[in-house]
Amino acid sequence: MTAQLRLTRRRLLGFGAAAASLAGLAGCTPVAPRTAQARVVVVGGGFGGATAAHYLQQWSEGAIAVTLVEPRRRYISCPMSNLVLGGSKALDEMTLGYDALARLGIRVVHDHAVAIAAERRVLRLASGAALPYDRLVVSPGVELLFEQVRGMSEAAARQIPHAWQAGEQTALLRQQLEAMPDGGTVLIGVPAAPYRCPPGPYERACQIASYLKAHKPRAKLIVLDANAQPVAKAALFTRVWREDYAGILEHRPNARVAEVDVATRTFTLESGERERGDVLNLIPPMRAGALAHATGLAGDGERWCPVDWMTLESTRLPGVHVLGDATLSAPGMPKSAHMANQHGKAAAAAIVELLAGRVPEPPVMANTCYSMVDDRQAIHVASMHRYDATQKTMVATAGGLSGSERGRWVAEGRYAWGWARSIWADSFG
Amino acid sequence: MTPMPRLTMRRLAIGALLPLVGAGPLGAQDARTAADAAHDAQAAPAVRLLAATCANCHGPQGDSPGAMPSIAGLPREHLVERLRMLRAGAADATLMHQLAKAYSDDEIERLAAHFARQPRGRRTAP
Repeated sequence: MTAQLRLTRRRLLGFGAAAASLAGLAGCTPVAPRTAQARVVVVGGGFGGATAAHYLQQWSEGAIAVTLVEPRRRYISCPMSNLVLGGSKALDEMTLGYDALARLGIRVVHDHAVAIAAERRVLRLASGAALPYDRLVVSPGVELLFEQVRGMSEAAARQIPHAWQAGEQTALLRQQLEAMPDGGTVLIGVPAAPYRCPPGPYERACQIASYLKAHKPRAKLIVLDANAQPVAKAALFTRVWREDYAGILEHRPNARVAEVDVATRTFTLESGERERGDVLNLIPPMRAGALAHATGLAGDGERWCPVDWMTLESTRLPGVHVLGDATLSAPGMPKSAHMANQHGKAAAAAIVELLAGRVPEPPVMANTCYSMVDDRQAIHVASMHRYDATQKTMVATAGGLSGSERGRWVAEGRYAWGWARSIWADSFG
Repeated sequence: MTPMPRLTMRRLAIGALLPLVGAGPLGAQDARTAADAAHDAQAAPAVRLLAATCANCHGPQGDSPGAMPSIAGLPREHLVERLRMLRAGAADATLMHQLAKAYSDDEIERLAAHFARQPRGRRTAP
């Protein structure tokens, strides 16, 4: 305790002065007496936001007061949630909370962020509270665009689940699969890229096919894909479908779902072709989370938030950093939980340096996506990304996919669950 | 020297300090030791973000809670050799040989020195 106090005080001296001078530059007129700590508020407690809060707290060594704003008290991991559909895992095995981050000294506020006064550097919450900040981090996730598919709405999603934000929706889709008689048909509608988790729809197809193969062998699964081929790991998924799920799973490319009829459980494709099913899963098109559009972090007509990849600071609102799926991705960069976690660290590193009056290092980020193709085997895609000063963006510098030897995919299945446990601890403490 | 004795020594040193910290006032000497130990575990800005790219898979500070191998507290020379072999495609791996290609010699040295300093076994039983 004593040691920690001394450490904190020692760091505060240099830090407080730098933060005060930066605040002066930004034209901020504090109404209350300034605290010695710089203030960073993080909005959104998913993989991006939780990681940013975690690493800001760790790397600033007490020099930054970190507040995390997140309405939910429990967070259900999207990574691994397809396994609930396959039946090998339950949602409570992937349910996370914020207690560990709070124990590290992060102030966790369970509320909705509603507005950003960027010129005064104040965040307003639904409760009416105002949180002043020196730097703001926004990790708003995605908003589902139901209205882009005729007949679809949030209400319709209670019958035609998307299950693209894990939780109740995942449980609903699982219940429908269990209730479906053998010989039934399952339909999955996949949106055009870019969307959250490029390999996710294809992993889901494997999980549902795996469940049908074991429990409803006369049932069929049709994947209606708006894209010309699987958006990620195309050759690997195609091979699994051929070798493991022939006669059960059919993948149809260039088959965008344009309309849903909830009453008759029918998808109408852009081509006019109709497909009726017993269980329908529609993954709608998406864009950056609602807060990004309400605050101008995504401009008029923009689906995603442009950022300066050196610091992840918004190019629309100064002093605000945007993370995760909501960003306008750099070339070759997926919208994944792993990448959101890396954004959180890159932003945390940049903010610690900026508030101390130093120049941030160019960021480096890794990505690893495991997809479980049944209850034991996984395939991966991995890549490294570095900031390129000439192109002023992140570029992929190395990477690869699972090898063709299927014996190794069982080891990869163990690593996939190990990956989940590591990233949960790394993001949520 | 095997990693085990080094690891044990480090645990002993930390274990010996903790009761003092909790018990009351510290001498200046002890306070500085604890503060410096905490600060040493933090890396310089130039390496800490690079090292943090490892944590998603290998756990916070390289200390894995699950099936991924921990890299915290491994001897520096071992980590350097392993990363170089992975980069050259000479070590057996499912994935890491693909990412290792992105690291320079200097980065491998700095990462190895960083992870060799990290305490191990905070998340998993020894």
